[in-house]
Amino acid sequence: MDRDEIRERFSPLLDGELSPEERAEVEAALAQDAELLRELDSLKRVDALYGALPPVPAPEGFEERIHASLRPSRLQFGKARVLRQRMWPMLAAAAVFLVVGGYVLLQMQGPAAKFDMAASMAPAADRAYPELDAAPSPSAAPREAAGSSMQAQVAEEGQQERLVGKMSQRVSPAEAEPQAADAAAPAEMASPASPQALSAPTPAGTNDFDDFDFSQGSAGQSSGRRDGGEIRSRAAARAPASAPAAPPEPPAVMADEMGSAAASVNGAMSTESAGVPVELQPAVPEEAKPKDAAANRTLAKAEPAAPPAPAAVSLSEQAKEAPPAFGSAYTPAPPPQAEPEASAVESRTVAQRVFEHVDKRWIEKGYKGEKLTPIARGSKEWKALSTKAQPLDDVLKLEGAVVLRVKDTWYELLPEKSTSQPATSGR
Amino acid sequence: MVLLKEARGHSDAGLVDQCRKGDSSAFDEIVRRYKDRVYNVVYRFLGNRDDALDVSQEVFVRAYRGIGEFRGNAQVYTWLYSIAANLSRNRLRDMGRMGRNRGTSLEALQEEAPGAAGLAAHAHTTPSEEAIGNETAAVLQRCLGELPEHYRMTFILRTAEDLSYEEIADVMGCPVGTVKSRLNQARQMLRDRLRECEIL
Repeated sequence: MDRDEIRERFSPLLDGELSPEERAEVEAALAQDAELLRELDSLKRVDALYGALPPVPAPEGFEERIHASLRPSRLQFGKARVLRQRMWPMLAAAAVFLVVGGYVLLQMQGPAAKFDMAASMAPAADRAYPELDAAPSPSAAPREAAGSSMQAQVAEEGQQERLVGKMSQRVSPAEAEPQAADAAAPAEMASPASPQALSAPTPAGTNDFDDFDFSQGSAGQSSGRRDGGEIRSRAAARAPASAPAAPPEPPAVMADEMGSAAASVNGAMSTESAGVPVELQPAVPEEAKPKDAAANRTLAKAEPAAPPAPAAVSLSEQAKEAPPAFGSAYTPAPPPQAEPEASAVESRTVAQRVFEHVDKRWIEKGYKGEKLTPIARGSKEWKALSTKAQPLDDVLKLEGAVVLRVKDTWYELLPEKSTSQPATSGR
Repeated sequence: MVLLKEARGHSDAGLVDQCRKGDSSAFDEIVRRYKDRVYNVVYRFLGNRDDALDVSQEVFVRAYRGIGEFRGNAQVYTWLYSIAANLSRNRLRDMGRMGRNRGTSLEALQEEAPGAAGLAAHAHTTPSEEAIGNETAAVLQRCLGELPEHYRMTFILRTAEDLSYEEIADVMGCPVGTVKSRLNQARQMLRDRLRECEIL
């Protein structure tokens, strides 16, 4: 074994990686070669120096840093990862359901609400997308062919709703025009004259909501479209086809009944429906509502609970008296002030005494709830009280019980045919 | 706390299994067990605390994300060291591209400003190194930093972490004979360098 071979075994020797035989060979060689031994000693010193370097621990907060780095990845394992992957479609489906459900509910409020909604939103849409005014409606031709004014009105409404839908999508005007021609636009969900849109098949593989193209529709989207169409059909069926005639005339509701009706639905109605500042104008004919719908949007929502009555009294005042919306600060209205005539207590002056008729009793003024001593009419006690100095015979002219004071004692003159036991307590 | 106590009772393999089942406390325990060792290796290799902190943190992040690919027949720490070795080499190359490793040698420091080596060495030493002398520790670290990457990591794993040749071979992905050769070369190069620095 030459020196180079011995040198190659220095490290295994220092690290204890040599077999006993190899170790014996190296040690035998080192015993005969002082230079090799010095080399080995120098390597031992190198190891000793670096072995003397103490380990450097991780700084404080190291684990927290790792936690912070791993926090977004914590859910990537096991069930949590699967759960997260499944949550997105569920959340997206829930969002679509809420939007569609809200739309359907809005539709179910009746045609007036529909008109109101569309009319109230139309001006804004016109301002935002003036170029869409010139865009031909994809379903305008069949509607015109139908020749129904109601259908034409609904078509106009559909156009307005498309505009509204595009506003909600925040599409750029450049994108809006081709989408207006696209029968599958989501804002056309309620368009009844788009059979191709209603029956458009759901494109496969669109379950990735990150890349979801609402303009192409989905299962939820198409179902919502069908729902909207059905609702729209029902709305059209309810309304006369000839003209936007008056809806079924609601029963006449007195002013106080209206107030109580509004109060009874206070807990269930929204702020819009039960809100105080709602301008209810029941005297306005129903056919005029679409024109004024922008201002009366909330009226339509309130109709099922509190149908407007063609009362002579403006119900806007009634609405102001109605309790405010649920959840808002509500101070009960003070009880109505009695009319002066009705509130006046009947009083009579008898035997130079003033009596007021309260609770079917004539009570002499000045009575403040003192203890009463019962006394029967015509009894000895009564006759004893009625003296020349204080003639009380005229008091007997008062019908019913009479409360009066004689010599600092309050008596209750019982009614003539009263069989009740005398009261001993104050009123 | 209960989960953490349970995790502390697990072996490394058990912790890995728990991690795979989504038990984050098991990985916390792995971090707690090996953070100092990983950081020490990376620090010795890079010679810089900030870079060592970043790389060590990245080691555990990578480990967490790749724990599904961990081979059960290997040790967790050798797996962590292998990640650390790769990331440390990458960081070193990034530093080289950015010119940050300029001046890491003693010669460079001496050329720029005489005496700066001591100041720079002091800036890169740890409190525990003060026991053997800041300057000596800094020279040792500088000399270590001048070793070729593979030699350096092999030497660190052996002297600082006391890994066997087989474990080092597993970490470095090389035969045991290569480890033996690299260690031998590393020791001789360090001896020569330390002699130049009059440490030996």
